[in-house]
Amino acid sequence: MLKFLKEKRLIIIVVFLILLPLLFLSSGSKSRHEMAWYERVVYFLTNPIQKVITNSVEGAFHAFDYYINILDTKQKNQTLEKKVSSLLQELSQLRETQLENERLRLLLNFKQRVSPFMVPAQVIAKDISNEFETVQINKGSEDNVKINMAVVTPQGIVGRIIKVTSHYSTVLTVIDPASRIDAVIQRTRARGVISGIAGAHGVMEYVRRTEDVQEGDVVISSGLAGIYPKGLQIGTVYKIIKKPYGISQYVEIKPTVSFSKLEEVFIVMSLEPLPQKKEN
Amino acid sequence: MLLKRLLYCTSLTLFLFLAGSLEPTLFAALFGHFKPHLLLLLVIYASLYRTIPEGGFMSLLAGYFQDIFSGSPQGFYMLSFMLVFFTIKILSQAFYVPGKKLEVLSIFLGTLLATLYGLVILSIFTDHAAHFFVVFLRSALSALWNTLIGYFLFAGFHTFDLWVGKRDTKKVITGDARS
Repeated sequence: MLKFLKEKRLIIIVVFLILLPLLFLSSGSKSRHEMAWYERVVYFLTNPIQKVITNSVEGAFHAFDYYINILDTKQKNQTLEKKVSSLLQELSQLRETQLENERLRLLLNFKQRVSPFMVPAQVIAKDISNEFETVQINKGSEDNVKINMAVVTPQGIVGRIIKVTSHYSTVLTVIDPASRIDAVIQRTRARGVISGIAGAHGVMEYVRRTEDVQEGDVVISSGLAGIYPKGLQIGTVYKIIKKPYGISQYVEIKPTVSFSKLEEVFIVMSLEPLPQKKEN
Repeated sequence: MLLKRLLYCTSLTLFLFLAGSLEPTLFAALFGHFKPHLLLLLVIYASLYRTIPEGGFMSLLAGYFQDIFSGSPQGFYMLSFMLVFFTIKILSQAFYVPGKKLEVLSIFLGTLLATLYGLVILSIFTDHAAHFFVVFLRSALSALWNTLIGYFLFAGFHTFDLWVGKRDTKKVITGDARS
C-alpha cells in the first residue's frame, strides 16, 4: 500500500489539487451567509489594513488634487496667487459648507423617505477580482448589522449585506453576477428581476415582451422579499432588445449609483416606519 | 535550514495578506477594473519555478485567498488558479527556457487564461451571466499591468529565492523545467 502511494505520489497530489476546488465549488459551500472561523481570521487581520490603506489613498488623492490646483494658479501669477489662494480657500470653505448643507438636507429627506433607522458606513475595500462586485464596509455585528440588510445611498440601492464580522461587513452590490432584486419600471409598473452581469452593468430579466419599456425609464425596487425599501431607484433602462418571439424582452440597466466612486453608504437597519405619536 | 524554511513560509503568508490588502484598496483606486493581480502573479511564478506539489499548494492557497476577498462562489478561483498552474506547468515543460521574454509572455498568457477558465467555470457551475467581450477586454488590460508589475516582482522573487536558499534559481529552473 505504502509502495503504491509512493509510486503514485505525484498523480495523487494532482488529483487532490484538482478535486479539492471542485469539491468546494460543486458543494455550493458558498453559502455566502456563513463565514468559517479561518475566513474570519483573514478578515480580522486584513480589514484594518485595508481601512488604513483606503484612507491613505483617499487622502493622497485629495492632496494631489489640491497640489495641482495650487500649481496651476502659481503658473499664472506669483503675486496674485496668494490672494487668489486665500480667496479660493474661503470660497472653497463656503462651497464645502454649502455642499455639506445640501448633502445633509438631502440625507435628511432621504432618511425620512426611506427609513429612519439607517446607519452610515464607509467603503473600505472593493472586490479583489475584476469579475465580481462586492464591497467591504466598516460596520459589523458590533453595530447590529445583520445579513440581508439593505445598503443604500441617496442615489439608489447599493446592495445587501452577505457577510458580517464584528467590525466589518461585505456587501453584495446590485451589479454582482450573484445579485437578484425584484424591480418594477416606474412609468409602466412592468415587473422584472434585476441581476448583475460580469463585465456589464445589469440586466432586467423576465420582463414580458408585451410590456412597454423605453430607454431612459427609471427602474425602482418593488419592495418584495422585504430586504430593500420599496420605491428606491436602482437604475435606468439604456438598452432594449425585443425579439419577435419568446416571452420576455432583454432590458439592460445602468445603475444610478456610481459604484466606482462609492465612498459612503447607509445600512437600512429596519424597514419599519417610526411609531406614530398618539395625540391626546 | 529550519529558520530559512520558516522565513520562506512567513514571507509567503505575508505576501498573501499583502496582496489581499492592496488589491481591493490601492490597486482598485488606481486601476479600477483593470487592476493587476498579485495572487495570480504568484501562481504563474509557482508554475514556472516550483515543483508540482509545492507550486500546486501555493496556487491552491492563492486561489483560496482570492475566493475569500471576492464575491465569487467558494472554490471558483481555487479551481481557476489550479488550471492556470497546470496549463503553464505543462507548457513550460515543453517550451520554457528561463529568460525575461518568456517570463513576460507567461504572465500575459497566464492572466488571459485565468479569465478564460474563470468564464468557463462561471458558465458551468453557476447561473451568473457574463459579458464575455468586456470581461476579456478588461483582462487584456489587466494582463498588461500584470506583465509590467510581474517583470519587477519576478526579479524580486528570484532574489528572495536565492536569499532564503530556497534554490539556486538558475540551476533549478533548468532542472525543473526540463525534468
